Amino acid sequence: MNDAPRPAMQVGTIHYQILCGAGLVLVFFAQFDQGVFLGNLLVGCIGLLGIVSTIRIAPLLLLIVFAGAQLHFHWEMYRSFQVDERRPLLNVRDLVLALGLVTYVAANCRLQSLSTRIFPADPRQREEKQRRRGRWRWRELVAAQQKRARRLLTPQEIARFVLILPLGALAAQALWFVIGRPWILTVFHERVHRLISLAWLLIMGALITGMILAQWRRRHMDQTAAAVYLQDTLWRETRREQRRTFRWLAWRRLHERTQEQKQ
Amino acid sequence: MLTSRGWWLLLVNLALLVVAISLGLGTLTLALLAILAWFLGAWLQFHVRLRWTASAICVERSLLRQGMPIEVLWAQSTATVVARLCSRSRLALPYLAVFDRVPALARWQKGDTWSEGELHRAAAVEISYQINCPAAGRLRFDGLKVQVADLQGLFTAHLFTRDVRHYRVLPPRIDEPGHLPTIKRHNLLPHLGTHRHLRPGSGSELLDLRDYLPGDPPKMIAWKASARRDRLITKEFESEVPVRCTLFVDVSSSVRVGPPGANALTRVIAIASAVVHANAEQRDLSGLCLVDEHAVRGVIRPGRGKRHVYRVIQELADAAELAPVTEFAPLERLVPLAYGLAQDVYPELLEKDVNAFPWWLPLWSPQPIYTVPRTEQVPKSWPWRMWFYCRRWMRESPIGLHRGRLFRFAPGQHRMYRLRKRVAAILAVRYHLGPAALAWLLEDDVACSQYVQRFLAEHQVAAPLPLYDERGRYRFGSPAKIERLGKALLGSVLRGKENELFVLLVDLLEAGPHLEPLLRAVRVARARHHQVQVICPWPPGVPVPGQAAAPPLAGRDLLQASLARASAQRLQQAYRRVQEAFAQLGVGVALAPEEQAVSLILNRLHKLRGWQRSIR
Repeated sequence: MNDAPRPAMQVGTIHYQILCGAGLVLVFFAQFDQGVFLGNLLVGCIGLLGIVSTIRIAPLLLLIVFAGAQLHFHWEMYRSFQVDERRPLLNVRDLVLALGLVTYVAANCRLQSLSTRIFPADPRQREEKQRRRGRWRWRELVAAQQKRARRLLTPQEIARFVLILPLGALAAQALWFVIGRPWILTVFHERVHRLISLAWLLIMGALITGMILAQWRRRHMDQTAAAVYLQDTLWRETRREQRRTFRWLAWRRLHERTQEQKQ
Repeated sequence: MLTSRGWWLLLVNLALLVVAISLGLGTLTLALLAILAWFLGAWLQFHVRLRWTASAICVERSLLRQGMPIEVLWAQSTATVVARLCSRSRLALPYLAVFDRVPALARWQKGDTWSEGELHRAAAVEISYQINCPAAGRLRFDGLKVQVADLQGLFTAHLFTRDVRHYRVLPPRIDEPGHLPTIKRHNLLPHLGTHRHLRPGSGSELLDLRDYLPGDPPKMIAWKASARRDRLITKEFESEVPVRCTLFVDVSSSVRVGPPGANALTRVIAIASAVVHANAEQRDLSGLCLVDEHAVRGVIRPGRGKRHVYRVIQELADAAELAPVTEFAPLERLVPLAYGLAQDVYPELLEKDVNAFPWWLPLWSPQPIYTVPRTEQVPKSWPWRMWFYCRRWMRESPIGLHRGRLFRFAPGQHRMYRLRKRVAAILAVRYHLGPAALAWLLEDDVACSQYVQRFLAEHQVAAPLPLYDERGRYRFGSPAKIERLGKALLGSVLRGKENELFVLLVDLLEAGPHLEPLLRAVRVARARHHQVQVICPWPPGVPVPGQAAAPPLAGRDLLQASLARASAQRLQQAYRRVQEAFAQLGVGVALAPEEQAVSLILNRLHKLRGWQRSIR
């Protein structure tokens, strides 16, 4: 039980469903403004299905359908993928579309944490579940799925969530400025340059952040963990010599034991 | 760590992003970049919160009984465990689940052993549940397992907040059916002709009336009787010499086999505790001697008083938590158990950057066969013996084939090597074995087995130990234990003053021909007019002599039932042999599971009280 003060206003899953719906509406109107119609309807249907049901792949399906709709729209407009889409570097409609998509995906993930599970299933923790096939009913042990309790939802959490979401769209726009900038050296095609820029940014960012976090963790290590770390380093560096020595010792010990048993 | 939901979202998003950039779709690229940025932001936020808070969380635990905190509890009583996870950090963890491990000795009764919520400075996460302790021993709480996740369920991490607490569980105060009343006996003189030959002394019970002799204290004159008989009569009172009872309790591995709280040692401790309490009520003296296969673990000279009783009970409670240890147990069974325990209790020591395992190591250099303890017997007939030695040579020679070379590609072997390396790294640091101990435990099966057993025993995890070796000999029937017990008994006999009762709560069923040192000591005790009573612990679940065995079941269980029956018969025969050996010395043998075991000891004590007051 958590002893945090309970909020005066009751918040439930419906609030995340509303946020999902709002995201979907933003996507729908932005695409409508863009000129996407049929694909837009499909995106809307998939999005609604994800809101009202607990299908775990709903956000992924929506992303794929959304990408399909955009591809189709591009093909319909230019009849070729060699032509780059003509758009300004800062486009409000695209920003709204990105915001809607992020809102939908993030809110749907939170919804799934409340309705299906928040942690990966632990096979060691099992619960009894009733199964049914035709007339036959039986109970079997399945890996327990732990979902987040609805009573833990607070209005502050929703407010923080809503405030953070535009940051994703703005960060994407900033990333686009970096990636979409034309290169001075034009060895490859512009798109290849963009891909290289993105990969470089992601890999270097992940490496540097990972190193900083790892260093932070090492600085806060307790004595035992630090001892294991140092011991592991020593073992890695002198593994071969240690292995030889201790194999010989283990053999000698067994040999002596066998001799004792014989005597 | 990314969850499956996180992995799928990242992979699908990256794949679509690559497609979008490759095909020059600006709108799609921007939308997917937004999702990527949000994802990376959530990842960074999760890790920063986790690292910031991990070192600032602590556990507050208390054990309550009727609302009051306690440090010690009695067996067969219930208590409420309250554990709070608190944080001193400014940052909050938005969602975590906290799990408490119920100690092996305790039985969960009601309440949840886990809880969930948000953790920050003003809000702790609390767990409260009720447990029952069926047997004596020690409750060990290691701390709380914490599973952290972000609110989207994209990232998760395991922590363990260590807060090792021990609570002693004292043996129960059992009122056995044969428990003697503690109220004062009637002051009755025996009838004429049926004299009790009691010794005169300074007690309070009237023994006899006799003629006054010069020198008798005047306060002893029975004035009414003197007036009636017209001569001076003196009262004589019974001698009140306390009876000493020394309990020799076997705490060797043979009685520790089984899950904590459900092994033979539990019953032995319960009997010893009941005798000590009953003896204390009679204001007699009780002593204790704990013996195992290695040494006499503890000796408490006979004494009385509340403090002495409490000391004896504490010693018994500490002995009750001991776990069985054998020289070698197969690592295939022990290592996965130890690894599972380490995953729960020491997750930070299994991190990849702290405790790494090169995946190619078992392929490159698997454990050679010549360092694995052999479990096979040399055949008796010479052709088979030749073949046996030839095969061994082939396996151990540098050019020969052996298990390691053939099975280095087996996934099971690879997994075992990985688990063993990681567990060995933890054991080497935990037991301060030195910097090279990791390689030592990785190569020496016997040493690794012993330390893994110790690790499991300390955390009260029952390990599956083989009871018999490859030659069919019982692993725990140590002759050294019998010899040490004999010496301890002789020591007590030498120190004994009056007629004493020595109660041997010892497993002698597997002693076989090694019983002689103990019989010799018992002979000396009997020759010096001491009383000896043997109580034999009996494995739980095995029918005692005279009790019908469970009917065998058909099918697959038939073999198990037949084996169980043969094992029970062998134990019953061993019991009869022990009975015969002690019967020749006039010493009774009873089984610990029998209900009258405590009554038997108390009756012997009662008789001894009568005999002590008799004229020798």
